[in-house]
Amino acid sequence: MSSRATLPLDAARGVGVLLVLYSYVVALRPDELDEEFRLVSFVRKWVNQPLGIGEDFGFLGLALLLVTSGYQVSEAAIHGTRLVIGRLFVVYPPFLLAVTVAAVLTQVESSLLSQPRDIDVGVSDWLANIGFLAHLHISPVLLLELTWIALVEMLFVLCTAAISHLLRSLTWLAILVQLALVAAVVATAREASGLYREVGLLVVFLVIPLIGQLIWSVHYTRVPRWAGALLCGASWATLAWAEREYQELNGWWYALATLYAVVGFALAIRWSAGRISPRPMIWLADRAYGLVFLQGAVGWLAFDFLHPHLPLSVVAVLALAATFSAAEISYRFVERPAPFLARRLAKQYRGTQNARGDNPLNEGMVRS
Amino acid sequence: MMAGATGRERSYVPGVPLLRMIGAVAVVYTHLAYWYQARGYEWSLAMVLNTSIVESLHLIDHFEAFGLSLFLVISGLVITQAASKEAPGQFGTRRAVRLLPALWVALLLALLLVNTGLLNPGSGRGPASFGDLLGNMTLIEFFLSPHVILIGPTWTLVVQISFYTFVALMIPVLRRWPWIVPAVGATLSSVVLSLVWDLEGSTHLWIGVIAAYMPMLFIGQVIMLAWTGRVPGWAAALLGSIHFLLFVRADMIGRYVAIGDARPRTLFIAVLLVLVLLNASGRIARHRATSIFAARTYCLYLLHQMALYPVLDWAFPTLGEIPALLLAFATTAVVTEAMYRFIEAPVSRHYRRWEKNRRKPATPRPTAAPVPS
Repeated sequence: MSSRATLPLDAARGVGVLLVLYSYVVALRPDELDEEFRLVSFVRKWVNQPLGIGEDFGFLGLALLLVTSGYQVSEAAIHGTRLVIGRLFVVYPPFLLAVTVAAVLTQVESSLLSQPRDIDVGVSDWLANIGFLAHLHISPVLLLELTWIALVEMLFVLCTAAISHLLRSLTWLAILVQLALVAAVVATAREASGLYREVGLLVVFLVIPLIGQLIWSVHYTRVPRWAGALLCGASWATLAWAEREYQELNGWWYALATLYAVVGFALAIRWSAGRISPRPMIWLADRAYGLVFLQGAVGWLAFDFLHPHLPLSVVAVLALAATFSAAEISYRFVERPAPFLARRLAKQYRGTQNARGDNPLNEGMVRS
Repeated sequence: MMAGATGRERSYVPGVPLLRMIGAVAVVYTHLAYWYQARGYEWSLAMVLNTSIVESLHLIDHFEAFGLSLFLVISGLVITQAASKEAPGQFGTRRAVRLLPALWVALLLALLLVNTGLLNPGSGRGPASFGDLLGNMTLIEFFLSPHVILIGPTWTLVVQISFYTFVALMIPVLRRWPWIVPAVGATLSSVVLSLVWDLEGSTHLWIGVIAAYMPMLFIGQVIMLAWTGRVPGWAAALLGSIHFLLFVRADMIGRYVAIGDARPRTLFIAVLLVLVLLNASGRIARHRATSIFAARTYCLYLLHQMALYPVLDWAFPTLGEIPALLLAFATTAVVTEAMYRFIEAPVSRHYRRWEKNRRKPATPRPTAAPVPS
């Protein structure tokens, strides 16, 4: 693990993931077990309520992760579409592992951050979850409540990959096209029901990485500041509008939390760009998605197992430690090897294709 | 967060004029929206802004307290910058020369309007006596009961002048150990709030108000100290958070900040805006119109209600909405410009000139050239 000059990005991811862990492991789980955590009550009274940050910072943390992803995906898009697609390996492998771990844990009757909480799953449920069908209510069991963030991130990666050429040449137009598409889906899905409405509810959150993309484009002067501010306002207004129009989003104060995340991230980019990240921050940033997905399975299991025997604060610390350990394992044995494995498989596939003479263009792609 | 730049490089804050302009617009907008509400009219602009932004950010209707928060934070920022360069006496006199003459003239105008029934006083009932005028001119009126406050928004001057006095007294400390000033300020605010929060009477109420709103100015001070690199980022964040929590506490008491829990949120968003625009150096921030507008914000703050309300009361029913608004804005612009041009700017200029002449060393008398022996 070496030092790197990406402090604002690592800090945003690190802070984002810490907020998510606090929200779900330290605040939500004791609530569900009817335990009162004094620290959480204090923070709710003095920070959450006055600032209007709901879900014990959970959504704020996720918004920070998404806005950072928007920035990083756009940066990758400049260097080539393949690098954008590579971003999928940051999200999907830890998600796949977490879903699998969650499915296994249901067999020992552990409570998970799932919908519903106590479930019994079979192979078909597991398959539906790893294929994101559960989130779209095609399967009745959602093994990880935070599946939506993986879906949003992957959707954004695919969108950016699709328009990466335009993003490189006419950045403002690429962003405008994406925003128009998002707004169109959100507006038309409002009156819809079933799958399309679910899609609409998901697409709403694409505005957050889109704002990250805007911050990137303004930072690298690809879009003038005034246009960036205007598009950023329009993106935020889309989310604010959806929050009013969609009953499911009403009352969660997402627009406010998004504003905090966006401004916080923009300030970090402005004030600390080019500064070196401290090692703990790099550690957290690299394992962000592993931590986000695994806390609802491993963290909750540890919490439930320990809470009858130990004081609440000790239980919370140990549950977090268990999550960190699981994320480290996920990083070392799943997340880090995954892109290499994919690259090797792709090379083998291309080798076969070239040997057959099916697609001579692939040769150039391998070299690039 | 703002390390890496020397104090010398950072002494100029480019975004201040733009922030002042936004604050002034917000204050005028809020008071205008409340005029519509009080008279039972609907203002489509206020409706649109309330539904699209205010409700989404869960602020108070009509952006209430946003302009105020912005002004107090900017005031803390600018005053800290000035205090770093001036001696305590000089600092106090310069502030007094800047604030008082315009305030006194505005109060005379307000007395005239209140006593002719064209304007309702900011608080209490007219007509106002000469004693009330004197009370308003010295700001003592706020601590008396019953009282007649001729210009409602001047209550913030009570808070600001208390802050200026505190900063003037702390100038030697501010130069040597800058972090101590906001730390002592937090302690004072906390102690005062603890002592007066349940005491009856106008004096106690206003002492509480000062303690409740001072944290806004201290947050501005902390931002300035971090900006100039005189306090490290982490210490600034810590001190700023303490002051924010003090404001939350005042909000919980409910007596001083009694409009739900949206005021701390409003303050937080104002602080975020200050941080975003602090370094603004774009075309709008550098535009001459922005600096012209910013220079007149104090006069606008004193006069806008006096100019807007009587004109709207007369013109709205007779001329209709748009002409009435145009006329009201034009009147506000004219009286603001007149006050700035004939009172605020000349007095300040004269004082600076006098100050400069006084400090100039006496020119040595020409002596006869030595005669060579």
